[in-house]
Amino acid sequence: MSESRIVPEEIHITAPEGIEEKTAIERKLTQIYGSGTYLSDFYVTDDGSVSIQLGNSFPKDVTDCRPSEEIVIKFIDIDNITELSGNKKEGGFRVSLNSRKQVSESLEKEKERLRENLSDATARATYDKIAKTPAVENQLTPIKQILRWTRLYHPASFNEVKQAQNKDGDKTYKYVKTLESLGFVRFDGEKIYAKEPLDKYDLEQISTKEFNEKILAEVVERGYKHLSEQLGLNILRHLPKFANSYYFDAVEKNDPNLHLDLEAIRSNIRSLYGYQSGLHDWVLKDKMDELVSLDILSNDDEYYYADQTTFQDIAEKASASR
Amino acid sequence: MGWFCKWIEPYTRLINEVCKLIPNNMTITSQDLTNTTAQMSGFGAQDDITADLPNVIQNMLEEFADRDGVPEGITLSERTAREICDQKDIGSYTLNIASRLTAELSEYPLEAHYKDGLDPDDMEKIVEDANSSYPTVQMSSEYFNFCEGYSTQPDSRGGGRDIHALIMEVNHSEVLLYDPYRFRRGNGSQIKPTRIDKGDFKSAWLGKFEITSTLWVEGTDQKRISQYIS
Repeated sequence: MSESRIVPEEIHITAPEGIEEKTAIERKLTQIYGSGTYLSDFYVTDDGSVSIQLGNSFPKDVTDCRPSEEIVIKFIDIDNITELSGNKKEGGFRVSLNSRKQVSESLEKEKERLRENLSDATARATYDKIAKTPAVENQLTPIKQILRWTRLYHPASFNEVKQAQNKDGDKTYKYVKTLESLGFVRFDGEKIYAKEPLDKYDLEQISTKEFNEKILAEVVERGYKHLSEQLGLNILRHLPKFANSYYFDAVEKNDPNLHLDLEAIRSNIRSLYGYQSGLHDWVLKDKMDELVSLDILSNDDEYYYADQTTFQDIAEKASASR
Repeated sequence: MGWFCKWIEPYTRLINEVCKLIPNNMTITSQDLTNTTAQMSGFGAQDDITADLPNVIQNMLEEFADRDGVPEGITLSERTAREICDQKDIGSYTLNIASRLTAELSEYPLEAHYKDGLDPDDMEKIVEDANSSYPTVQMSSEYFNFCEGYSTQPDSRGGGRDIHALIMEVNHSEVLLYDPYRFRRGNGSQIKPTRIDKGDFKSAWLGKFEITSTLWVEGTDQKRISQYIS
């Protein structure tokens, strides 16, 4: 069935007697865009032009996987997924319609934004733990070196740092500029100067494991998006992705005691990230168990549930960025 | 105490007389529940929680096709049901849905109807008409206050998405319906009717727009289904 056959280009809506115009428009639009549709904004100007923002409320199954637990469905609403316009005409309103495909794609984009907000909140709530993992620590080695050398050989020569790192292309430059944008260093084109977040460590501290963990945690906390998106440090997104596949439901349900099994977690990876996770159950279990060992999650037999502190932290950060 | 019994006696008599005037089918009996559960034996649970309308339409035709004299071929595949509703995550497309469903069933003397503003009496007539399928209704999130077998948490506006359900029995005080949110494909649970007070049902059916929406299929006037078959 082709899209063009289904949704007309525009529609004329007249409010029956006793019904508000806004209500009549909303009802008609729920028939077109689905029963979760609502008007998140509605404005009529003096000259009769109408501007409509549509929102959508959709159901998400957040049922606890333990036996005998009742099904729980959480509704999630997203405002302003699409804008429609129209004008007063012949005792009603003529409204130009977007295609259902277009509105559906807008909802998907907004869901992606929701997921990104949660990823960001998870990364910021767990940065100190994630930064301790060998895989993340290895990828952040060049960052760690620049911070340490800047403090040790203050002000450090950029050329010396570049030679010492022996990286392809302008990688060292990008790392330095990133650290500058995150406020750890100042770079005048030749020398790198330490700033407050780095200066606060004395010389004895900077060669310790504790310094590495603390400073890297701070870098990840401040620059999660920048590091993972622009410097391609995808490893930073790796573990939070698996953590999200649990925390999305727990945060939406506001229930840190929500127990999910591997099947539910796999299903969430699919619905959140939009692909079939081809990971073997054993590999997926290893990832989840790694999160447990880092105190990001807790487990009980085959079920995973929240680490209380992490849950509070993620829930607060996610709610602030929503 | 004697004065009280004497005082209340005329009222008691009046109540008894009124009760005699009310038919016995005040409540849904266990037999009604058994019969409706049996009618649901061919129903399929949904896999995609956002696809409630296609699932209810599929089951509406499944039950109708199971009746004596109704052709089995009127059932729909999941794919066709989703196409008729143009199912997407945003929800189903119900504008002109009756004409799309009628077109899909064009081999048979059937016509789909999608009507606004029916009342519970109209609904009861459709439910009792052997020539009509059970009706599919749209209910507001108010229904979730009375749903069985699961619970819901409202969105940040305090609401949720309207749900579609199949009405299978209506009497003076209660309604039995198929609620697609209650069951999941593959979890092995038996599909059972949900029982709801008629007043609560009506309120959820009216919803915030204060107008009911109902979809059903019936044999065309010219030729009743049974005649077509014989």
